[in-house]
Amino acid sequence: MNGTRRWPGLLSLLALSLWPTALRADPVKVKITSPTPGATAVGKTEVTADVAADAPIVRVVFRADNFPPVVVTAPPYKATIDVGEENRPHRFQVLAFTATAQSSALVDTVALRVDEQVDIGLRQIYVTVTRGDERVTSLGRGELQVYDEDRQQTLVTFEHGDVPLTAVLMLDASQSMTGGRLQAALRGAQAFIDSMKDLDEAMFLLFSDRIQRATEFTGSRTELAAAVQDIQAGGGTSLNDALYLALKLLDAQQGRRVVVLFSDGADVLSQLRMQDVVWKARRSQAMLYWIRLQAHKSERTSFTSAWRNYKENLAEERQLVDAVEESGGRIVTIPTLEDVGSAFRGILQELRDQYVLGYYPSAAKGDGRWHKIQVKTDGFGFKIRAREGYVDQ
Amino acid sequence: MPLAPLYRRAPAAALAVIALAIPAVRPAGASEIDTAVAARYPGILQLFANGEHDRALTALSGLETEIATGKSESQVEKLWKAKLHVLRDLIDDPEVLVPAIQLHHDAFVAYRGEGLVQLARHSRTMTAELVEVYASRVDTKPAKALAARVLSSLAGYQQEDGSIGSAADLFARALDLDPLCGAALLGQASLYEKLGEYPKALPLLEKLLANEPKNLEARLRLAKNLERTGEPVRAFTLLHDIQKATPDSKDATANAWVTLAYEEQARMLADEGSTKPAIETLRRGLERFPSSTEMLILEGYLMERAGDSRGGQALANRAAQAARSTVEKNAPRLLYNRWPVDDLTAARQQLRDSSNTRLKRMLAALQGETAITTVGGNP
Repeated sequence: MNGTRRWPGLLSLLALSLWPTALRADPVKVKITSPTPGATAVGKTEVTADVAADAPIVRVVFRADNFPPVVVTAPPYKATIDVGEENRPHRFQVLAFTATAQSSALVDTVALRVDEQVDIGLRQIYVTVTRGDERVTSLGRGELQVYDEDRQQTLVTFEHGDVPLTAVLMLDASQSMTGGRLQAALRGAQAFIDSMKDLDEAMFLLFSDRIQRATEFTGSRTELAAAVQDIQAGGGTSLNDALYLALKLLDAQQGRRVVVLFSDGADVLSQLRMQDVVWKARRSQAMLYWIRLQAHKSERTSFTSAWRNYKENLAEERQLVDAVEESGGRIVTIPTLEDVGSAFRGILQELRDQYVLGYYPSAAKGDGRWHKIQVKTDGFGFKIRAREGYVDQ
Repeated sequence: MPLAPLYRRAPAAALAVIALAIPAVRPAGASEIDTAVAARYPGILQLFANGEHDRALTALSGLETEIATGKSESQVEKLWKAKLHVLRDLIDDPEVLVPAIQLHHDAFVAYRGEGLVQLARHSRTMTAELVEVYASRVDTKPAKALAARVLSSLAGYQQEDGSIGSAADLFARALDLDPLCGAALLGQASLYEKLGEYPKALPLLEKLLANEPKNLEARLRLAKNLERTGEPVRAFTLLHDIQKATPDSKDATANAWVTLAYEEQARMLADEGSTKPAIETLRRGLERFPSSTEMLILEGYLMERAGDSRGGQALANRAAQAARSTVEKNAPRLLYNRWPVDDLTAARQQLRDSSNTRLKRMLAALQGETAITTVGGNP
């Protein structure tokens, strides 16, 4: 693969500071044009160099770490070196020789950090692997293959689930959540927060027919707990508006992103339609989880509203189910309030057990088309759940 | 669900009219319920007639809870029959029914608030029955208007509780009694909206607007239903007209209708592909209602769809910020979807006022005095 990628801020400055190495006024001039400093190199990496000298070039030697060098004796001066699939820094060196002089250039690439803001071209997918009732957490890099539009992709990153996460905890605070339900949901969310690790962050987004409370993203458990102490359930349910807002707020966050929604009902009021939210979800890298409190028959929320009729509201709910599944998340149906805490904790554990795979789509065109993603493994009896696709933009 | 079968009069109400028309003859072998009601109900009415509203309500609740709680429907039926027997002795002057209607209406509201379903249903039925008797016995336009207002109020509560069939019956009956009852026209139209029968809502709203041209809610609902039934141009004009309204800033309900006029017009524009005018409409709306999280979210979404992700992000941040400082309890879209609390309050006030002018007549009737012939106050 071509390991050259753009990098933000500090890394760009680092790149500029390295440039002069290759521009010394020697009889032989060498400049590595790819990969660029600070970029990421994984797998087969093409190394290219500009070489100039007053005398004829005898040979150009391409090195990467301690891998076997590649010697090129005529232009174009480029070589492909397999630096392996491990996500780590590499040092590339190009040496150019004339009969009487020599010169060299160095470029250092870096390991890609998945909790860092990276070029938007990088796709990250979160993969849950199960066999029977158990999650499988021991697969290695070579055991999972990602296909984007049926083409196998080169994995740039391969991490296990301890990668930091940023979560929006979306809690339904509508009328149907009275009678202790909201408090139970808050206790469940608290169980999630209590299990967060140092670099994890979360925000509360409590909604009814309007956004009742939206905290800042923070890793502070006490700040989060304090922000929702006085909240009371009441009003209708505008889930779509709140879910779109959650996804949009996550856009500005880094690393692994997830929405955990707790609701016992369905939207009958929102200005945005679920198809609008689906439009957004397909362009988001966030996963959606929906903890759904099973309503007793006598408590079934009415799907009738003055905004949308029964059929339309039913379709809204079905689209929400599809959006959750398409994102690689899942619906956790709980029969009683006693299961709320374990549902939240279970989701967090599932996130910890996931594989986080990153790749640059080989067929990326930015044409707004839907790209189908498939994750496969050769192992027997494995079941894989991951995002089903994304919109290429 | 088709609405047509919902247009029917509650048979119980018709029975009440007949029951009260028959000369007062107590059933042979009076039951325990008859005895208890005969002993305590007149005293409760007397308390009420003396202006001791809360004590009367407490006493009524005590009696009804004792008789009806956890008992079969047949027992509850005996309770209302026993009360009708008491009232039959009083209605030589049918105006005395108005305070009785208020008493049972208030009992219904109290039971409903406490989640006492059986007693709430009993009180609602009793109120509706007494309203029917009152309207048929007095048979004047003001009496029918008051009756229609009370039935619309009951229907509003029923709609709030999701009992659409019962609400439709009550609204329909209210319109039988007073075809220009604004609450019933609006209520029936909003029920049609909930059932997805949008064309049927149109004539009701047109009628209401002809009678109350400044009614913002009627205008908004008409616009929404015109859009749904393929008349976007008129819908657009109506929404534009609503935006010109400048209700008092303290009138949260009226301001909600204006907010929705901006939102709905923007959505119409966006749906036809005119994203830029849609965004401009929302910006005008946000100048007037800067903390409307719904408008901020919609504008952010439209900007993102138009390719301005960063602009959309800024608006999402503003929406989250606004949510941290907003004090309004209900979103405009919720108000549109539910029966307005303001209307229920107004209906209760009107009933209270009408009742107060008749308390002396009730007292006289209870004390067996000759019926007063002059009618006091307007309903």
